[in-house]
Amino acid sequence: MTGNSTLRSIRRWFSKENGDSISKVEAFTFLYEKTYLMVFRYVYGLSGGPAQEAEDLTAETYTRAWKTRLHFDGNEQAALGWLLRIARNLAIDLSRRRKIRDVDEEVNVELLLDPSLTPESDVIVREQMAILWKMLNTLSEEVREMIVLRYMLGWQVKQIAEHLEMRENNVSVTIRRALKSLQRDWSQSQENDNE
Amino acid sequence: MNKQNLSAVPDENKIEELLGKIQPVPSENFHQKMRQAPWLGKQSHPDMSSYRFRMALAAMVIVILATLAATPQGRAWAQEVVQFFKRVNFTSIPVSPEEQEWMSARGETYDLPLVPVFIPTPAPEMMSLEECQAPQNIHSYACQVAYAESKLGFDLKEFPKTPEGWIFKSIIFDTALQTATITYTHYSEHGGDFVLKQGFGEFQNAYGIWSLVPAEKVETVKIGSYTGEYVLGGFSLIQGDNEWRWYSEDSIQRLGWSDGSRWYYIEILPPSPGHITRDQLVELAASIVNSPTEVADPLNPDSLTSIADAEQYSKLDLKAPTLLPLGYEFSYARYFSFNNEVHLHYNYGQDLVIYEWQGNPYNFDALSKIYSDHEIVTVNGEPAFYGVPKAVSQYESTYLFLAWRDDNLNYQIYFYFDPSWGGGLLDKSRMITIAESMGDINDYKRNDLKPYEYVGVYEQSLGFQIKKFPMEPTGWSFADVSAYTHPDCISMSYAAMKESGWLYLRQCNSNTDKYFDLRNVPSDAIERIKIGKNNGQYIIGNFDTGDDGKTFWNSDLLYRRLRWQEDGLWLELVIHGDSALLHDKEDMTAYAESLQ
Repeated sequence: MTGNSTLRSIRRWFSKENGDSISKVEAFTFLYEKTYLMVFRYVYGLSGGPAQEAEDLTAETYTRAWKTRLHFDGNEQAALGWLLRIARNLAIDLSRRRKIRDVDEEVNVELLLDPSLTPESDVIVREQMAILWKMLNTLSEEVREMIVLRYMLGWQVKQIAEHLEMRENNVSVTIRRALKSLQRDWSQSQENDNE
Repeated sequence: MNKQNLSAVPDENKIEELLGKIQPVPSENFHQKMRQAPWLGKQSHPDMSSYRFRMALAAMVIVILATLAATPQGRAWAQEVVQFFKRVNFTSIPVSPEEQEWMSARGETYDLPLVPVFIPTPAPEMMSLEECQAPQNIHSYACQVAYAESKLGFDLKEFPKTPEGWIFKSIIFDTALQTATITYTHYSEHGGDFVLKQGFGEFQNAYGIWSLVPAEKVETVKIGSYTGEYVLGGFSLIQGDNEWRWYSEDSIQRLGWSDGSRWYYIEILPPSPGHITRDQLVELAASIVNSPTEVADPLNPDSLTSIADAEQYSKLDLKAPTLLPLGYEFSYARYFSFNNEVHLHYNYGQDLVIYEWQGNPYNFDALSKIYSDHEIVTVNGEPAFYGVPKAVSQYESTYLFLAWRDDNLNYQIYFYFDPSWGGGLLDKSRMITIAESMGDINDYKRNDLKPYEYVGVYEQSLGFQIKKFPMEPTGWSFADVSAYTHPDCISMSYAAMKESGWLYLRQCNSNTDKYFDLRNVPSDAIERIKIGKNNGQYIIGNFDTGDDGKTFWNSDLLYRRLRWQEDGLWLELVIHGDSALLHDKEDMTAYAESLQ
């Protein structure tokens, strides 16, 4: 399901005119089912993992959302944004803690792929993905978030701009610059990896 | 990979394509965990798990103390078959002035004293049981059940295996009442209790507002061939609200039934996770047996109950603090395979967590970029990093952080707190003291009840001596001791050996009478007496909850208490339960005057 159709579904469920609200178990369960993958990818992408902790924080995101759901007073579109804002704090905190642990992890590319899709068999692509994953750590939290929303969650620039309360042009320029910097630093990162 | 194998630098389009291929999915373990998520069980009211709510509830329990055993109407309920809940015809209850006062008196912060970790020697009678041979096994389910059964003299009915998603927490039993309570907790950071109570004779459970259920909310269900009562929901009080309101959708689940001789009661307390529906709960209730098929507590890397188990998993030579903030105890350890890392959790939730792993020495410069407020300190003479993190968000609770290295292991302590909720706090010096206290001890999760040796531990930590009975009073058996600060108090409890009843002795070293406030007690319930040379008060009765849900003073409740000041201490001696029928003012005065 795409992001937009997900939001339409959530809108239907959270329609207050129908007497439904996010406080309802059914509505919240529906919200979870439709968004957990996005939230997990967002947390994983923003924090850099490890997967085990990204899963924990995804669970924690929904637990916190459940506890504070009566304080949520937004429309359907805001529901996903609300979840991501909860997740953001947790993910950034994990990212910071992970950095100070100075763990020299081997990137397990399998954990970055959706097993339900055609397996990525190209060795070079797998190597490139591993390098790229490590390079994401070099980006600032703000830039990394835009990259995650754009590519891992498949959001349009306009959606990202609305979510981050920025101008579309700024988002677009920032993402372009980030791609250029990733390309520019690629060789160095690759060499570091080989040392 | 070597330099000859370096792949070509991808262009921007290729990088975009690669980024689009990064589509991780959560593991099956995640899905399994989420099947027990809170909203699926409809238990947790959003604010019920909050500190404020818990404090309000704790205050109610402490002050009202209206156990079913002690209430005449409670006895009346129990005489009717399968009447586990007190039916009422309303769904909201005005908040009393006392409750409003308790609710508003939160949010203060205070320093937490450090207490030596005391690992008690198991009682010989416990160690003689086959299931309890090693100290770290004492908290195991098998040992606790065996011990409870040996004292109670009957076989406990148990679930065939631990309910999915739950971890055994404790068994509390009462030999006089012939009751036992098996409690499980959930291994998520938000806890939650799953309670199975059982006993002979009169049903022993409800108190205060928790006992009240709108009549239409009580459902009759069949547990095997027995008839029982099921309730989804409970009265809860939201911060800022002026009424207790009934919440059906997402509050607690309760189920009571009787097999003719023994009653059973299951309660899932918020914020418990709850994949369990009513029918599943009923099915689980019907499955209880005399001998479970699975008695061993399998090692769970997400919830290891001793340092030794965590060492077994990680192969690391772990250390654990020998000094902890008052009230903090080893809860569980968690093993992370990705970095061969162990987290030691003290208390459930994000309170005090210690990370240990083998890794590169710290780069303090890198740390300083993350911690806006930081300082290089020393732990055991070696450089260490102490910091307060940059705020991610103004809404986040925050934490203190200390990182140091010792003997090729990296250590980090995180102490989490939310200043807006108040409560005990640590500071830099006490974080360092905890770090320097780390030693080779095999701490393990223990029973909630503390042995008498803790009296000395608490006295040392709080810095004052309490008065003690020269010997255990005749007819009473020491049961527990607890301590808290702000103000500093130590409470001991004794269980009656023959009848059903308790004796509590609370002593506070304080200039305030905060916990000895008699303003709301009717003046005609207070008798002024002499305890030795000291003035004191003798009070019969306690606060109770009426059929309308309102709090009132009930002089018929089986409570007798003395309050007095002596040698700079505030003291309170309480006898309740059937023991209150057997002990009069003179007995209690004699107890009080015997204290040394």
